[in-house]
Amino acid sequence: MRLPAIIKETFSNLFRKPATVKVPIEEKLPPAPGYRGVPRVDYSKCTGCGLCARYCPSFAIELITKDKRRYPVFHIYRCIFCHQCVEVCPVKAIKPTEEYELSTDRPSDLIIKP
Amino acid sequence: MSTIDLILGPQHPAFKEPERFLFKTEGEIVVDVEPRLGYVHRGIEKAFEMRNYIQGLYLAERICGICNVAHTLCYAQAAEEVYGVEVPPRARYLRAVIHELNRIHSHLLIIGVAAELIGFDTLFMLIWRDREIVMDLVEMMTGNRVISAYITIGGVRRDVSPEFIEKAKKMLTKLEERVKYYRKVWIEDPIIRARCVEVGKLSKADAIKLCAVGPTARGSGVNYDVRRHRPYAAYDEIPFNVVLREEGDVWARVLCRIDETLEAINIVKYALDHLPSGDIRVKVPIRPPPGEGVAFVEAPRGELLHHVYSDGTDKPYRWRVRTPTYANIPAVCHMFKGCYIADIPAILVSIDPCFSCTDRVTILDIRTNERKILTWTQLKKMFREFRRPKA
Amino acid sequence: MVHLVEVESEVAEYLRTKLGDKLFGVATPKKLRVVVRVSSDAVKSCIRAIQEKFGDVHLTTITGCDLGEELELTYHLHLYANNVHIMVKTKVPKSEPKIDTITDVIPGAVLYEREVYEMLGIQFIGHPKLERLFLPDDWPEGIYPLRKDWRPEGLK
Repeated sequence: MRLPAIIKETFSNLFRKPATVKVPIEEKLPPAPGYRGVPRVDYSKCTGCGLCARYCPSFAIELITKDKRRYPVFHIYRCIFCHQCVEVCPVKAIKPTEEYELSTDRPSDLIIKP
Repeated sequence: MSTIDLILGPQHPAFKEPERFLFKTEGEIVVDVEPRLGYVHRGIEKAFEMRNYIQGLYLAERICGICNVAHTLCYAQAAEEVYGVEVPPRARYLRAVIHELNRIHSHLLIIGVAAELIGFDTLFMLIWRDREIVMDLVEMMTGNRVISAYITIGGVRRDVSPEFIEKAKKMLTKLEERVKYYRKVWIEDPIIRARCVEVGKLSKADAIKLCAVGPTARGSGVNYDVRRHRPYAAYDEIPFNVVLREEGDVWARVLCRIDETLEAINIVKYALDHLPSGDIRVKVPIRPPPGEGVAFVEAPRGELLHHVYSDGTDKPYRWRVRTPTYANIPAVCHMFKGCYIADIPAILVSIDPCFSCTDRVTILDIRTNERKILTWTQLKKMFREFRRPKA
Repeated sequence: MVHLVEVESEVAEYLRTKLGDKLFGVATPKKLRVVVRVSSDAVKSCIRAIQEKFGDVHLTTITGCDLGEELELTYHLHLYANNVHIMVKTKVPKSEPKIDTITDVIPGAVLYEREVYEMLGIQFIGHPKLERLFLPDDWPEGIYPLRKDWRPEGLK
């Protein structure tokens, strides 16, 4: 009787390093360059045009009026990280980042406002 | 012999997603089956009517996480037909690349799950380990492992660098070797053959009659692949084979997927070698002209359709989506008839189910032998009455 | 795949001769696509005629759409013989939404007709089991969510 092909593979795996890494105790895996993380806003550049709020697919951007000007407020807990706002911003005031570790015990950390 | 009703789902260890099947059984044999869909019905078609075309793109992506590229591609093609724009050649090739990478990842996922459900956990672990290669590639190309957000109306959102192309080809060669090995295991292994061969038969005539699509139909010898028969993206310029098997059982359908994975690797390599230069997208205005658009795409699970009616405003008037698993439900119900109860998970997984499905409970009253179907509200009321202390 | 333009006009010409005054119009808007507009009682005979001439037919889906006074149905057919996509379009009045079933011609249409029935309220005469498919059991009778006069609660 011939041995099934899987047997050899199974036993060779006994002598191999694990395929997984212990995140974040032993090692922290960096995301690939260009990873879509939290969008950050440069409020000094923002003109308050409201295009980002109009295109946001998850309705995470709210427009508020402060000192007679409009500003977008980003509710990151609703964000789906599609970077559509980064793409439509006419003055490039919204910058993409690669941040992905977002868990917090203060909900106010997840709101970006001026 | 009297029949016994066997209810599997909506929550069941053998099903990965919520779905209820009522099997009428005689001993060990299933004689009839009644599916109940709708457990995760989210009303997406109505939601499309309340979003503009760009927002809808990201909603379409979330119809199915696994085949998200197929949905965005189909959405974009339907919208482009309404807008009347042509996609630049480089974008058409990049669309084919990401679409095939998505197919590799989806097929490896379901081959692994198929192995697990027939009781072969080693193979499941190994396949899922090697699936990480293609997940890393997708992350490098698009910026996320699964939800790619890569295709947009009028083209694609990011370009690829020459370094990426070099790296991708190297990694895909490695993956190809592994998939060839899994193919050998699937063909030769006596346990797999014992569990899958001649199980869940679907003849070619039945596959055509019940309108089966994708690898489910091609595993029964129906020659229909949208990529070949109504080409989109760059598939009219890329050489590839349509994988057909004549057997029509669980084994053939999974083997069909393994062979398609190998084809997909070749398509990606060819497309990356022959990538034309030029723009990657054309800009579209927020309002399309009034009209109608229909697009077909060969998603990993089969033929996918998006159909849009535009009335000239920034929101679609009506958006229709027909997903491949929905088309395969009549076929899978046919396959169940005459099978053993133990084969139910293997047959179900062989159509690569991805359910889009509400709340319902069937209660069999033993004393009166009366069958009731309760809604969620009735069940809550019954529970309250049960908890109330007896006077 | 060689005679692309001829394939479409062949289908269009055949349907024109076969259906007569039940046919409201044929168009070939795109490569490998034929759009046929027929009266609501001629859908079944149209599909039969296509099957007789071109052999096996694959029904992709049935799209229902509320156009105000009328409900439009689109049957998406794929011909295995020459890969043409035929859209058979028909309209039924909203006051009396009734049409013959096609499940005796194409058995794969069972679920699509049930879905159109629950979402838009079109009665398919002769369907073997016309019941709810996706909607919950406590969903009120006579409310069809994909009609334009129904809007979900709590949304702007």
